[in-house]
Amino acid sequence: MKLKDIKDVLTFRAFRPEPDDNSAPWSRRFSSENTLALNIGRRRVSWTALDKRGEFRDPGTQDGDFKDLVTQMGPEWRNLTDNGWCSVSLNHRFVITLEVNLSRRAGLEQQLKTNPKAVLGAKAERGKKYSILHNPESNTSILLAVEEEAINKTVSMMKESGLNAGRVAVGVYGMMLDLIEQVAEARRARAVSHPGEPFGSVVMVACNEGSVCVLSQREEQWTELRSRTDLYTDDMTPVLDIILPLIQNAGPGTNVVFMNSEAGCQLPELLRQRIPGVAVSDVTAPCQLWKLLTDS
Amino acid sequence: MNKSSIMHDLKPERPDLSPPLPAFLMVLPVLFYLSCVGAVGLGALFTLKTNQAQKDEQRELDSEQDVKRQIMALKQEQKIIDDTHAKAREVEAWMHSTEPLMDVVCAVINSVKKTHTLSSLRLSRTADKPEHIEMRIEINNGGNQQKEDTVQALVKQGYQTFRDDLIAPNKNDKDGAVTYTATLVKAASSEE
Repeated sequence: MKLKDIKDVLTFRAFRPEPDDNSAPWSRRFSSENTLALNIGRRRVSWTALDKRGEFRDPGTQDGDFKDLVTQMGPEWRNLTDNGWCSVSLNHRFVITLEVNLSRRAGLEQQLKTNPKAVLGAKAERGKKYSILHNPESNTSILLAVEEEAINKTVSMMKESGLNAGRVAVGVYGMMLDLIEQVAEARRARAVSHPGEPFGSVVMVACNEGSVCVLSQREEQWTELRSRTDLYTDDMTPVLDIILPLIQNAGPGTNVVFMNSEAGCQLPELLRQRIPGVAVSDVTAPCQLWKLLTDS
Repeated sequence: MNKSSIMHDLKPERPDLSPPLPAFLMVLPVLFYLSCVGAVGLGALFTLKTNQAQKDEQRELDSEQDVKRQIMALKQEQKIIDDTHAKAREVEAWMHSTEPLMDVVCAVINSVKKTHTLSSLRLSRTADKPEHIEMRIEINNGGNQQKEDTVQALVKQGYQTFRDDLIAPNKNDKDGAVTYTATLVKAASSEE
């Protein structure tokens, strides 16, 4: 038995999941501990600290390459945490696609982490890590592919600055999954309140500091998906160019559900101006991305 | 779909992840901290009690010293009383010892005529022969006649004289000063 084991027992750390145990929620892994949430883009990094009371504080954004910023900002980020643990959102070097007829055998999610070729077949590429979400009501699935090198480099660069990655996720993919869950709940609620009535089409839009993921759903079917990274900076017009064709394809009466990494985005207003009469629901909560990253 | 599944994790998985310890084992660190608190509490209590006991012991030692001083004072008083008592006993013994001589003293004093003076009367006894009384009298005037009167008075009291001696500084003066020494013995008949 090591001294650390005794210390962990005496500090009750041993009764909580290990910091990098991704099977446990962030709040259980780091209860009463200051941690950091990082959103790493190609040319911009934003961050916020999550304090012991579960409140976000000291947010910041800086333009530049993460490799340079982590050297420069590392000590400050380290000081915002107790033990250097961070929840990371990668905002570049990923691809989100809509796949059809993927295998849904039991245990495939675990196998996807270790042997993606066994799950995806010819679609699997070397040097990529995957995450998948199946549509339970159709044969479509959303597949996230991230360059493994990007993950490993990010983790090792953080480690050099005294930071530990407790989670590495793709923020815009997580936001899209949250949107899908919210829409599914809304469908279930509508099926109860208005039995037999069609739900209609929904276009879900997730934006995260330059990255966009748009999913079109008609009744229970996922029909189209568009995903881009580094598409915009402050001007949201390029996002409109992605969204508008999907809204038009979805037909009249389509509901647009929008989620941004932070509240106060101008895109819903732009959409209303561009397509008068379109129903746009902005479901963005304050600190939306940070909440998702830390399960708050 | 819960939030942890929404927020997938792509980081390299560590193979040696261990699950958290069962919650019931929290009793171990809790007991440890309780025992620490108990040890500190007991230590503080023992320290307090030790200090209290030391103060009590010091107070008892001081009391013992006071009592010893009182005993010493009482012993000194007792010694003074004993000394006084011893002296009183001596006086009492002297009084008891001189009581048998009072007849002799009375007889000698009463035998001295008014015109004569007795300047000295000395009676003594020895432990070897307590029945013998050594007598020495000095008569300023009256001479031999006064000596005879005194001897007669002693005979009346039942004493007999022997080994007597008369010293007269002026032998021509019959009424002059004389010094008479004799050994007195109580006659057997008078004792009855």
